[in-house]
Amino acid sequence: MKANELISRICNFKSISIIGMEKNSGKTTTLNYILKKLNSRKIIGLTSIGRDGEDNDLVTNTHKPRIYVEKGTLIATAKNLLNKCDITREILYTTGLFTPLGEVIIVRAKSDGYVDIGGPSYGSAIIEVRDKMLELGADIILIDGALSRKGSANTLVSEATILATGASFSPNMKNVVTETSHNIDMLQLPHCEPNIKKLADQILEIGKIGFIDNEFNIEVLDLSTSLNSHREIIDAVRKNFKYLVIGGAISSSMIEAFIKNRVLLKNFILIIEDGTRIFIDSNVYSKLSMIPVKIQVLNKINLLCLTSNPISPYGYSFDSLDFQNSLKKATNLDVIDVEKLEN
Amino acid sequence: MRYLDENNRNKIGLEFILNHLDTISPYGNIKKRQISPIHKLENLEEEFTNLEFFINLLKNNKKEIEKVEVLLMRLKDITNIIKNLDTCRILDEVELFELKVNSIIFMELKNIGNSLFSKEFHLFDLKKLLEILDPEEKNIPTFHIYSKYSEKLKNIRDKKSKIEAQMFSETNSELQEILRDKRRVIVIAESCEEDLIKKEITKSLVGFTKILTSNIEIIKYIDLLIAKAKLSIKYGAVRPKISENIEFIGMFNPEILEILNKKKQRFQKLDILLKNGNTILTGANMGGKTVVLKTLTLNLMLAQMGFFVFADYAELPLLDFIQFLSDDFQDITKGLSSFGAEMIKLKEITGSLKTYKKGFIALDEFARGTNPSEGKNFVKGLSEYINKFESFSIMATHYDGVAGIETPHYQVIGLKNINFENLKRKIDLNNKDSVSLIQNHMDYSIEKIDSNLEVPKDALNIATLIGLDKELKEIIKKLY
Repeated sequence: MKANELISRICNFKSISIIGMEKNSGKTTTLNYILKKLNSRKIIGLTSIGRDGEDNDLVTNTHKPRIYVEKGTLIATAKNLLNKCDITREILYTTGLFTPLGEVIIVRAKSDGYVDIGGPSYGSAIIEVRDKMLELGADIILIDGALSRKGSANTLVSEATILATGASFSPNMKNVVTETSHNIDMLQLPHCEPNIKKLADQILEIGKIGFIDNEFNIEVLDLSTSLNSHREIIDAVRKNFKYLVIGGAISSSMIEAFIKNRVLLKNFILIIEDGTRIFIDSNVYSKLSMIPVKIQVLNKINLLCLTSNPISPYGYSFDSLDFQNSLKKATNLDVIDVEKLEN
Repeated sequence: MRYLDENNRNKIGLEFILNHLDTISPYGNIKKRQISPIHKLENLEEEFTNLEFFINLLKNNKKEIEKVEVLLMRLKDITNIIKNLDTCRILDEVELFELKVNSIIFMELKNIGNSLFSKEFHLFDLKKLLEILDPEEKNIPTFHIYSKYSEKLKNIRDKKSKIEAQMFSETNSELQEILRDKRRVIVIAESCEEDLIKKEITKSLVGFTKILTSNIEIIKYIDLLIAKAKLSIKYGAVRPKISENIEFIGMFNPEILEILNKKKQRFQKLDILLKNGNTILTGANMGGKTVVLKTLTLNLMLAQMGFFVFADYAELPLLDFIQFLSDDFQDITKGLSSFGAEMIKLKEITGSLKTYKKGFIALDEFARGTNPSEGKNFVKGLSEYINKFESFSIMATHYDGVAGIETPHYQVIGLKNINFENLKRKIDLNNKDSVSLIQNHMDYSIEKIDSNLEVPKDALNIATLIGLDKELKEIIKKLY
């Protein structure tokens, strides 16, 4: 896919999240490219879910690229980060949403410049900020995220998602491709059947966790989260149950508990809200698939494309084209090399 | 506590009233938390007059009040910013923004309010302050360090924007880096100049703290009065007349009213007249003596706090204290017997009687925790003692003949006018729900009776209705 095609694709949406697999995966380069190309067409609103760490990468001692916005862009960031933004700015709105770095403030850039973004760290607050920026005149909202904070890709938060991956993840290209493709598999887990979705929605209206049996009856457990409730969930399994519906986050230890009880859970289908709710690596996932337990989602995430950064700040790099092609083959997604995005 | 402890405030339904008092600005919320009894007659009358004024506004100028409410809703608490100004701390741009936005709202409130409200609610003009924070006269609720503040700033920004334009079109990365360095220098200059301007602006704003604070005080009060007025209209509260005696006609308790409404039952409104000294209240079990005491205490308390009262008509004096004595389970959990807890509370009450001129005391089944013959002596004695003071008291009791003929006596009508045989038959048909059937037939209103009358002996009747063992009933009956 050509880079300018990416921009026209983005233009179809009102909210886009950009998440990086790892530090230095080229996320900021991607973001800066989009900011630059989109600015002539749209008023952009920019925020992030939580905040990326230090300005300098402590491990590699490299200077991280900074986000550069143009005049007219709206930015939602924590008050204490405003001083780190060198744009001339107009304060538009104080949100009343607080982060460890102060209240989230919405400003308009009155000049071009570097900005430091730290938005709210949870979904409902991001939605509030997003809607306020749209109300204040933004045409499209870009949400800077990270895989560890992948809630930004949640379909309630953003309509579409771009995933950034890069050589920094591992010196072994095969590893990078495998893990990237696994993460994409997770983000793009298939939809469940419409009739099952109805039942699952019912379960999530009543509680957080429940079962659907092979005659399509539902049973809801009185648990407020699946975290640390493995025992209770496993104990509640009965022979005629076929689907397990879990709202909220699913930890890898939950999945480990499934694997331990593989006989009991054979042919089960695990239904989760969307691919941002599950935190397991490819190893665990393949074990789960072997039971077999399938995972399906209520809402599928719309992945627009994958960006790749063949250069690692640790001092090695992959062949750009080779990397791009391997990713494309493994993921079936369009891949753009960030190095080719410059200008 | 001179005016009920927290436990009793909850018990009588005051918490319910405060929870339904919907102030909408952060200032109104502060004012609401500060509500307390008013001690001076003229202050209380003034509060009532103000409330009356706002009730009329709500009825006659609905649209304007709605506009005021929308503005109140948008306010943020800027008292910390004013504090910073008072202590000469330089305001940052977000604080300047908040100050500007809220001052704009103050001005909008002023524009509506000053033609609507009486003079003491008129807000002070902030035009001069807004001139400082809106040098470009754009009149929009945003803020930045405007280039208009200084020629120097304008020049710096012009340079900055030129370089940014160059950076945008420059493709050579080395030249880009040079431009970036140039820009960095300008950015620092901009930031320094902005700091200077912030200092200057802050200085020029210091003089406004007094009128800002005055405006906030007025807004606090407006918000509270609108909330009070809405509550009064919702339940139909009236302005009490300040007089010598306590008199209520058609008195009710909103919390109990709501509970009964949910059960599709009616609250029987109460008429009562109390002269100073003691009044006795008797009535059947389950007859609602406690409801009478709670309702009376609540309304007296509300009046002292400048609320209208829940009745069709009310007269009452300014009260120096209000006490409520009942089985206090909180004290019992502290290791006291119910009688012990009562005696501690009694000490407080006799203390109040001696210290203050005129107060009100409600006693619910005083001394029921001890043996009846001694208990009766306590009630009799306390009644005689209270009669020596100018204060008012009302005692709900089961004991007969505790007060002399001169002591007024009210009785809850209860099941007095009910045919027990008929009711018993109804209950036998529908055994499960005997309690609510009894409640449905119970007349909770009160009537004044001759003090010589014995207290009603409905206990056996009610026990029979609920389903007292027949053999046991016969044995008890023989003892009457």
